[in-house]
Amino acid sequence: MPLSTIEKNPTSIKYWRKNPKALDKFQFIYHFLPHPEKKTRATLLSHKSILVYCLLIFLVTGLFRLIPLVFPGVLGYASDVNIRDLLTYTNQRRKVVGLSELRLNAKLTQAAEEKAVNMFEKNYWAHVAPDGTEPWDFILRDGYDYIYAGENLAKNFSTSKDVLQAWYDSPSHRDNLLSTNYDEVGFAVQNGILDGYETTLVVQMFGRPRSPSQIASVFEEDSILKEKGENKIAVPIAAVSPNGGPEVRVQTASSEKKSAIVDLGVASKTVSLAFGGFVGSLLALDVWYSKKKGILKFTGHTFAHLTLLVLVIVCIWFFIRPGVII
Amino acid sequence: MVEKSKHLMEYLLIIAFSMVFLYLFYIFRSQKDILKIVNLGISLFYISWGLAHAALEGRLNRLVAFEYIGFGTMVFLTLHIALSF
Repeated sequence: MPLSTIEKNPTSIKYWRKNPKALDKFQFIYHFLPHPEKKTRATLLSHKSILVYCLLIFLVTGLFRLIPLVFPGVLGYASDVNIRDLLTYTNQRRKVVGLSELRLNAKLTQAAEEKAVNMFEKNYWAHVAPDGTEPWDFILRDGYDYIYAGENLAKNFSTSKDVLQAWYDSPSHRDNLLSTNYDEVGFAVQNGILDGYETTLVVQMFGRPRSPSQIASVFEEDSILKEKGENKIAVPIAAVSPNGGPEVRVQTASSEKKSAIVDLGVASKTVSLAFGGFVGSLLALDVWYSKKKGILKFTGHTFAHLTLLVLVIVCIWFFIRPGVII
Repeated sequence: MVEKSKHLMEYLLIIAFSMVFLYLFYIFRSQKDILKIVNLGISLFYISWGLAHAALEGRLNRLVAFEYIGFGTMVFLTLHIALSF
């Protein structure tokens, strides 16, 4: 056989000697597939790669935490929550179990707004403020004399329906939603920057006035909804944090949709799913190719790894929604 | 045959626990603090399962142990990033 023919024949060893780049190209496939001769996993599933993936996830988490400190408001949560829907869904839930509807009360609504603004100004997310102020302090300060009172909080939610669903799913919040002790409710939906993230806080305050004659009328409810409703143009409230920190921007979120430059809920979920999908695909390829070529590797069980990863992807895809309640 | 049924039992165990974890994720889907603990439980269970499985097969060595610990940690972090924001 002439030398030139040998050098063009990929089954000849001389071909590979003369074409080291072709060899590299051929070897590249083993980044994704198990090696039949070395009896190892794909390079991208090696121990080193797993370590690199862990470090990469740390890096991305660090970036998500660092960006708000350097560029406040860039990362945040898109939101379309409004008081009218919150009231409707709350009363729908109560109706289903045969309870009376809650009336929207102006004083409770005012107290809820003050609580939300206070959380942005003092940069906290809790029922009790760092200075010890309790939810009842806001309610009493606004002149609402109650027998019973309660508070539900939510943040980072996309829709009013999601907020109600989350409260309903939590036994302690559901107890408030479906309590027979309350006649009235007040809501606040406030946009602002908390811990550097652009977000929407939802405060729900419940109460039963000491005197039944104090219970809000339908007209009062309508006027509050009109005031907070679709026609109202949101007025930004500017405030400076007391500790001299960055400026706190608070905005009533009566009806306008709010969106940060990057929606953190979507971004973190996408990163997790993309990463899980990538490693899952490599593991699936490993199972298929090893079976096809009869490669027996002295490693852990790929199928078990794949089972775990599928479990995690299912959890992220179906059950993880943006939003936190307390 | 015995070997095969032993494997089957071990895989049934991991599938059964996966179902339990899925159920926990479903019922606590709105309480991320609890889900973070469930996530830790998933990873710890998997690492223990992997190490026990390899030990029973007589295949447990440093590299196999590293693989299960590394993979369990990676999966924990993947879920943790989605739960943290």
